[in-house]
Amino acid sequence: MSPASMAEEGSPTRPHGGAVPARPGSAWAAPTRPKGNTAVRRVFAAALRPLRLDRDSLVSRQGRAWGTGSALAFAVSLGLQLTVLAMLALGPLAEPFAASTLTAMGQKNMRPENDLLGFYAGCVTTVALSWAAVRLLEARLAGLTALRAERAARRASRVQGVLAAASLGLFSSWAQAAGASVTADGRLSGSTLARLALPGILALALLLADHVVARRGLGSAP
Amino acid sequence: MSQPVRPSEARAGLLRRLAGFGIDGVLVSLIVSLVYTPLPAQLAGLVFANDLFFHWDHFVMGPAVAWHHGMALGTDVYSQYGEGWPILLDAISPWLPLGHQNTIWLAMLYGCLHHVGLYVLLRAAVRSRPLAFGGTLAILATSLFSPLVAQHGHPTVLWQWPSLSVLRAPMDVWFFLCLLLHLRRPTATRAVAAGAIAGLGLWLETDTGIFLVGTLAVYGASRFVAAELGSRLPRAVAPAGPTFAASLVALFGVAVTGLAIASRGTIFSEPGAFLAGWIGGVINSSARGVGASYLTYFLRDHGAYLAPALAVLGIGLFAVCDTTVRLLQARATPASVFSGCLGLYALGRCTLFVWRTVPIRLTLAAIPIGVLVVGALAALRRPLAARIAQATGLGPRWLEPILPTFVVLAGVSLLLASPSFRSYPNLWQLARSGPPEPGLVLFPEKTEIAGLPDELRPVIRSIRTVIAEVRSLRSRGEPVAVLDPIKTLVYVETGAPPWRGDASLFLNTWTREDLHALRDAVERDGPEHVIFRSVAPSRAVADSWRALRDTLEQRYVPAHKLGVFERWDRR
Repeated sequence: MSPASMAEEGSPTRPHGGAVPARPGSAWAAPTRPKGNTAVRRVFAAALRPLRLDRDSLVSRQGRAWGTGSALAFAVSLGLQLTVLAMLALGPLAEPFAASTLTAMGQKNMRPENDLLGFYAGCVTTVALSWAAVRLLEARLAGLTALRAERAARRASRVQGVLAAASLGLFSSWAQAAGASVTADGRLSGSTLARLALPGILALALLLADHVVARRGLGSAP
Repeated sequence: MSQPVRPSEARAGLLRRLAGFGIDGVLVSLIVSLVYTPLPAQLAGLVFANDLFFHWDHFVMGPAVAWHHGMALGTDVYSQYGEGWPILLDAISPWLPLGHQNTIWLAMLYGCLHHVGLYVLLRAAVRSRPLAFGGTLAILATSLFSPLVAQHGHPTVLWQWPSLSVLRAPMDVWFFLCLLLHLRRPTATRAVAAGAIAGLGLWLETDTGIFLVGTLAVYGASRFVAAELGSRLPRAVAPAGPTFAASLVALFGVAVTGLAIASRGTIFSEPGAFLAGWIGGVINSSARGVGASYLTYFLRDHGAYLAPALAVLGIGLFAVCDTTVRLLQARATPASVFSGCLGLYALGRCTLFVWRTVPIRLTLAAIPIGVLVVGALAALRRPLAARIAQATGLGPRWLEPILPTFVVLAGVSLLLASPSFRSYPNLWQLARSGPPEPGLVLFPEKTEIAGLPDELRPVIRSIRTVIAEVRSLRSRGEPVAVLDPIKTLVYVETGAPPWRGDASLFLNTWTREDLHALRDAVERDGPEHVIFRSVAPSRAVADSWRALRDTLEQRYVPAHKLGVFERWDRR
């Protein structure tokens, strides 16, 4: 369940993306139908067509919530690892302030770094990854019968959830251990960084493998 | 046609509502009793004993004293954190004199109000008293009473660092309350209120104000995308375009008016100088990449805190990603947009952690992350109860209160387990342990800033001597500069105008350029008298101290000793 569900008490549900008629006297309006034919709407429509599959999905609301939630969890897990890796790899600026320009307090406190760049880039990448992860899930469910789609969604949610937790846990413990090998100028060796990238790469490879296996296994049956 | 309400039902409804208000009142009183401390002198003493008010001077007192003496914030005095608090402190000084103890006491009172606001926000968001109360306790346990505060080494409270307190983001709770109300019923008044609060937030605190303004912009964009793609959000009561424009006018109206007042109009006549003194710190940190600690050092020195850091970042990112996907799938709801905005704001607060990667800075994201977690638990309450009911055969109505009860218990346990809470001088601690040791008092005539340890006796004596000396010089109309971190305390207590605003000294003199500028200013425009330490305060600042001392030796002659200080007179 996502934190986005807060304060939803009293709001009408809309399983499978169907329209809910507005209640008389309610502040909740009927779904806004796109008006006109603006360029912005056309761009959105073209860019987001794959995601619209979700609205026609045969998966139950609960199955979809778990499937999407775990896809997002996987993306966030991967995105977090990427963000931290980017901050560690970009890390200190190649040309820090010359020591002669700083006082002793300045040398202790002024550490020019690329961390913010890594952080923001990581956040944006994570949002893109979440879009990709949900799209992958939708692709996996597309064309399946209701029963198979439901089963596939639940399997995907389990796999994604386990991979997300396991890879992030492994990354976290390895990163913690890597603290011992930080150099005096605040850097980590290339091999340490490569090792830290492994949990994420492995999780992604396993997810894709599971996706392929699931598509073949479920898709071949009548 | 609606059914007429029977008088008995109406009475019962009224009684229920009154009882609800009563319970809310009790819970709010409990929250206030945790934050409020009835010993302002001891609270100020605790802060003084740790850092001689270094952080408060940098945060608000230095700019407040400079503003009080007619200087322009930003242009004449560096006001890194924001412009609003110094002006507000000065505005109320006719009733509550400008002073460190009063400022810390006011901050604590605002902390009480802010946490009441947090309870109201949670109450409005999750519509459950126990969840809101338990959530507020848990957030308190991870921010104001965070165990990290107790790891400082000396007994202290979070109020020692105003930049980690609710003063750093004073408007966030009120802003998100407005946003929530606007999501539920999008009236023009609520949109304008959200804009005005964001503007006020920017005026009071620069960096977190920027995050609020960014959140408001993304909120506006989300509503646009939601409308374009067909998400089902409550229809705006007023036309969206003019409402958005009015919100922007309110935002910039409040912010620009506030900044124009703070700068005494120099924002228009000397924009470059004003911007450098107002937003220079943010630009340094973001554009020039001036951080204070690398992430690698965090791993090396505080590796155990990586998992909590990842959890904080992960919750914020998850909320943002979830909302983005929902918006793009045309499945956004008021709740999802609200949590996305909270997540975005939480990521903004995490920027402060990225700038200075030390564990205690994780507390800065406690409020938005805490609200997101409580919201997720609220959403889980019914499905969880239904699942347990299915397994056990019990009625879900009996099971639904389990989760809120658990949250309250968790909040209470977290509080009781935190050493920072156990040592916090609130009403509960006083009732348990009695009044604290009286200790030394910094100003005996005012009984202010009390409970100081005996080892501070020489420093206290020296400060009193310096204050007496500056008072005497001031009474004779002779200008004096205090070139020491205690300068703001001395200026506040003596009413002497600060020399060149809040000049960087020792602990915050980081570049040789700044040091040379200060030396040049002393040589060129130095006042008749200078108060300076006879020995360097610590080895870490010995180079700055030595450089200033050399300058004094060229232009000034030592007059006499004032405890650990000396008075120097111009040749």
